[in-house]
Amino acid sequence: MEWITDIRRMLVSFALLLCFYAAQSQEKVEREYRIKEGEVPAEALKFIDACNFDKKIKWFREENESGSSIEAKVRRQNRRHSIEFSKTGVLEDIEIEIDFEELPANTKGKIISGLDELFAKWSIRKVQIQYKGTTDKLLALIREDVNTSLQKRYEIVLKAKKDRRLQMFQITTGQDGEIVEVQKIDLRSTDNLEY
Amino acid sequence: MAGSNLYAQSSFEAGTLPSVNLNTRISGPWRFNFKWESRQVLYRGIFGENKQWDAFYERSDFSGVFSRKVGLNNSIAAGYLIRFVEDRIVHRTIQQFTLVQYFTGFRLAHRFSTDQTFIPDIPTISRYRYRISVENPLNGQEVDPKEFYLKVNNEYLFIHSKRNNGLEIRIVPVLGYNFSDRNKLEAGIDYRLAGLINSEIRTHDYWLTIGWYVKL
Repeated sequence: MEWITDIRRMLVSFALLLCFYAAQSQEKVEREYRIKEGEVPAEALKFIDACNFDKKIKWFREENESGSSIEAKVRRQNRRHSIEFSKTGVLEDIEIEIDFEELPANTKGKIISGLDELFAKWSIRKVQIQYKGTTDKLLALIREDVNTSLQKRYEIVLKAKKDRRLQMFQITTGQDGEIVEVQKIDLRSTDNLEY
Repeated sequence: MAGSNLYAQSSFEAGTLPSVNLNTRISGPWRFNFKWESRQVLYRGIFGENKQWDAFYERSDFSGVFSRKVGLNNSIAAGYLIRFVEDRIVHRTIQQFTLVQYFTGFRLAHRFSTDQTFIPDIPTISRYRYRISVENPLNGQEVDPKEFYLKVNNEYLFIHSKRNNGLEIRIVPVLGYNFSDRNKLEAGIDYRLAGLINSEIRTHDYWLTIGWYVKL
């Protein structure tokens, strides 16, 4: 049938156009990928060994425009922990996922009033405390739950309405709950889940 | 007697099912999806009886669907499909609601849809569908550019017309490659089991599916 031949011709031309388009499209590359323990710097392994985690450690390398880092992810006391190292294995920080309700009342109050000023509506999805300090003090945090003399920040992922649109944001606050950074999170395309 | 004859036969078809999905944002929360999908049968027959290689082009579908985000992760959509099959033209209207959930390490999508198919000289066929999809990165905790992922769709279709009612189940495992957030390729098997109720013949379809998703 002639119309089938016409449709085939049209589709071939169309596919060629799309190939051209796909070859042209360039995107910023930011990747996190799983690595084996053997690829982890010795210094990072030494710290993790000293932590005595009883759950399996998953290792990741994160690459972005500013460089790369190594991350160990593990569950401890039923909380997600992310321990970040430089690419040479120098400990940078520890992030622990917690419930918003667990924050001190003053900090929580300051975060809530900060969010109310920024957004028309918001709801919290994830809260992490980020601890920074010396290796010994960070080790004491893991082994003995001692968090004194550590620099604390909160990273909060939330769904919020801004400019009449619901969007995802990550805010960073200081120890007292004052918002110091607001970043918009771009959600990945859902086309292949919708059609 | 009738009971023993029920589902006595199971027929099958196998072939290829390529598709191209073009997606674009129109303005604000409005988006548009254009899809081309075609079917080529390669092998078919009846289980336990005759089977034959029988390669032929079966059909082509072209559809356009407008969607609107109604929340951060939800969208409603409506569209129209035209199908060229043998010497007939089939029309279909489509409505759908999709909810996508983000978890650490995977994404889950629920799609509720209905469609109405208009075929000359045949009563209108209405389908009520639910599809659950899970997408898992094969490296890291989310699908980054230049990474592979696994996606599995499982869909249930209740089919209603004046003549008959039916049930169809689809399971579609695919391996995907994310060139970028604007360009993905998926390949896998699209298995469809139809004739589950009110039918004496069950049909099993096995399609080698290759889908290309491009965001313009």
